Amino acid sequence: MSAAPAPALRIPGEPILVATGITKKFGGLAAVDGVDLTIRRGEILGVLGPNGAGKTTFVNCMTGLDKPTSGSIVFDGRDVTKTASFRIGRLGMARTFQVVKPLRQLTVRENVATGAMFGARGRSRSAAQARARADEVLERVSLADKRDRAATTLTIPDLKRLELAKALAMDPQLLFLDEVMAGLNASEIEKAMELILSINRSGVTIFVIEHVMKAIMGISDRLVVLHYGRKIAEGPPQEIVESPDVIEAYLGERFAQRARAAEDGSATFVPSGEFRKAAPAEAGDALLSVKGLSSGYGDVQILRDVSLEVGGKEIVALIGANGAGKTTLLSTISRLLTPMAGRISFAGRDLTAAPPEAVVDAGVIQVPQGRRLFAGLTVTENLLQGAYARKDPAGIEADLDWVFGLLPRLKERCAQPAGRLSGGEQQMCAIGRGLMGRPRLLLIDELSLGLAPLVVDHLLDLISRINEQGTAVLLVEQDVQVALEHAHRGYVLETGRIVRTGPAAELLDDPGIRQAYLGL
Amino acid sequence: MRKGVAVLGSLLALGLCLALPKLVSSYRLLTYTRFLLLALTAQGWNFIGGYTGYAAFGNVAYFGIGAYTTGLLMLGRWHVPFFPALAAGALVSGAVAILLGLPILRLKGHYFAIATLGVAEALAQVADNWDSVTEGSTGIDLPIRSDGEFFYYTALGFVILGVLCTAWFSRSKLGYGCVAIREDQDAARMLGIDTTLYKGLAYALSAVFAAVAGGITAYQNVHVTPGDFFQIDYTLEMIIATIIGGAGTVAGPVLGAAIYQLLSTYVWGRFLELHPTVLGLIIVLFIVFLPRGLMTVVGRRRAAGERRFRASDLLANVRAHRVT
Repeated sequence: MSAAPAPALRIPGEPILVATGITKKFGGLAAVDGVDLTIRRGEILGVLGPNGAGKTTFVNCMTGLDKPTSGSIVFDGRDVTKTASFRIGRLGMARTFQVVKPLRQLTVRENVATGAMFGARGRSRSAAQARARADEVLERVSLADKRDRAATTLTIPDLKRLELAKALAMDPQLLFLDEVMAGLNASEIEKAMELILSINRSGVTIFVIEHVMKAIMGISDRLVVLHYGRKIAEGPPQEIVESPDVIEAYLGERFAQRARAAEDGSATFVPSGEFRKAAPAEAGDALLSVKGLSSGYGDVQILRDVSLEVGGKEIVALIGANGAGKTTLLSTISRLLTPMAGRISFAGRDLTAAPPEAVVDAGVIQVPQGRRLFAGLTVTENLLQGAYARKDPAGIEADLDWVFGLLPRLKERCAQPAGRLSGGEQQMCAIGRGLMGRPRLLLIDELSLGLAPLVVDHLLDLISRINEQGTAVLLVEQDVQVALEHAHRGYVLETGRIVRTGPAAELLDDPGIRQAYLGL
Repeated sequence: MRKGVAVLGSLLALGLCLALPKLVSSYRLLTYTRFLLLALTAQGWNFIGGYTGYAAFGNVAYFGIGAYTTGLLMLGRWHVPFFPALAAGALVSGAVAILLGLPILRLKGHYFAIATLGVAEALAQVADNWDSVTEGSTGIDLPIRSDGEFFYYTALGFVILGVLCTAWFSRSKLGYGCVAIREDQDAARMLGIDTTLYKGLAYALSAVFAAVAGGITAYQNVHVTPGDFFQIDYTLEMIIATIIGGAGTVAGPVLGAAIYQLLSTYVWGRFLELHPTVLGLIIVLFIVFLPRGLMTVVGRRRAAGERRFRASDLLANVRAHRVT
């Protein structure tokens, strides 16, 4: 789009990697399900897909870290399906990790030298030559001035750069980049885009997973979209982001209908379907009030001047793309993070400086992303852990019955270790554990993460029932449509700021939402 | 300039070490020899525990294998001279370490530690029960050589060799590979490192060092029994020495062994009855205040390059590593 690349390299070359029918199952669940993909020499191939689409698992399969359950991989004319991961690095494939994996106690330079030592040209390099090569690479990614610092002292953007430098030092022909831009600010993203383009121009084929739409649109020659482990679209970037299937995968059916309507040229699109919360319910007094909140991790500021309210009887949806700061906001409210500025008050009490246990005591309970159950304890024991701070045995007993009443499935499984439950049952157990603390406000982070749509529907009905029984809910959710259909009001978070708010039904029809997600 | 000081210091230390037997009593010399042998085992443990990050709790097994192999070769039918016998002990130990390492190095964390403990115990039982070769719990007797200086210089030579070997290791591809494994095994694999091979080599190297120390100790002690040469104390001492000095550093194990030996001797003299308690307490204090060893204090100053060591660094160190 914006970049003016060297035309010679834009012509798709011969295939460098051909993956056929790649399937990877964990237990019964196929994280990657029969994906065929060809990467052509010299291109930048962008990969999109909601959380849990199987993007990272696919890269793990390509690079030998996970062995595919079935399928074949041919790299540079050689079958590498069963090749050990360390050999793959030597053959000329390199990758970065989404969760950065620096060699912590080494200096930046030693980190990169390790890549130069064992990569494609590692055999012909002595350790000293590898250190010299590291200096070249560090110059290129603008880390040269920090080369003698321990990797632990770097900030997130620098760690991302280090991750890239380590991979580059391996002299790869094919480079897999797994969300190297997550957590970077706008100008850092610009720089990262330029860097990736220049690496590509020097002859490296690049496979890039990225949620920052502006970036992936700007650098990719082609896009591939994965959803529930399957490839649902492949083609030129512009075509892909306008494709209704892709919009549906990201935003839900309703947004897709709009897009289809626009394609058909029918000017008026009449929203169909029923919205449970279409009419704003009586909100009650503001239970939670957040004003001018800024927060982040260490030196990295994520949230900027966020204000938000949740009424005592409301379900409020907090939506936004990956890395927008949703989890950071929840964690700051439950005071796992300390705010840099701003105020948090709950039921008239100022909780800005309260310790996390006081927040729980006041009645704010978080159901964390990824459940965080105690895997070795039984379902009942997990639920009872949720009542840890309470001192009324009779009430706890009664609430246990109440939770089992709401979630009969849990009652059936009450003596099983939580680690053996299915994903959906685990999410139920996590919500149940939250309820055992008698919350006035339940903070739920990524309800649908990794769950099938049917399970998600069931859980959302459950949340509506909990809400009807008097608990306010702040719901963080990737699936925009699902979240807005079940909420009274919504907030849209984009790169740490609230960019839109309003009744859920209005937000559902708001074209701005699509922009926040797909960057159009 | 800085390098000049370091070279000068090393030369002085070396001179002092070489002249030492002429300066101290033969009883004292025994203590210094003990320090050197401890340093040697610690240098070995440093490869697998310090650089590769695998908590090997059974290295005494290789100490014992070294002692028995050296002893048995010097005895009976073969009458092999000491140094070739020592070399054979090191080779046998290294080979056993590779064979045992292949299965147990697949384990991680506590499981690896427990497996190595088990290996050491199993080998002690072999030595105890294989009467036809090891003469069981009676043990074997080596030729007598009551020449304190010989053992001192032999141990000194190997420790110097060990320092050179560790210095080479820490800058070599093998060393980089091992450190990458310690920091993150998946990342290491993706960087192209054959983790199985490198772990095995580091483990074998640690076994070779333990075997050399075992062989020298056997010759010095004359009498080798399973009870003496397979006791877990040896493993603990080499681990403690490495950690006090600085695991994963070149000079750490030697420095740590010196401090450990100094403390042990000093405490032994002052608190005859409470010796283990007081020594234990001092070790705990060391680990609380300097969990990553003395060398990291020196090393950090050098890396930061601008200021000298301050007492507040100790507190910062505690804060940075406290268990919450």
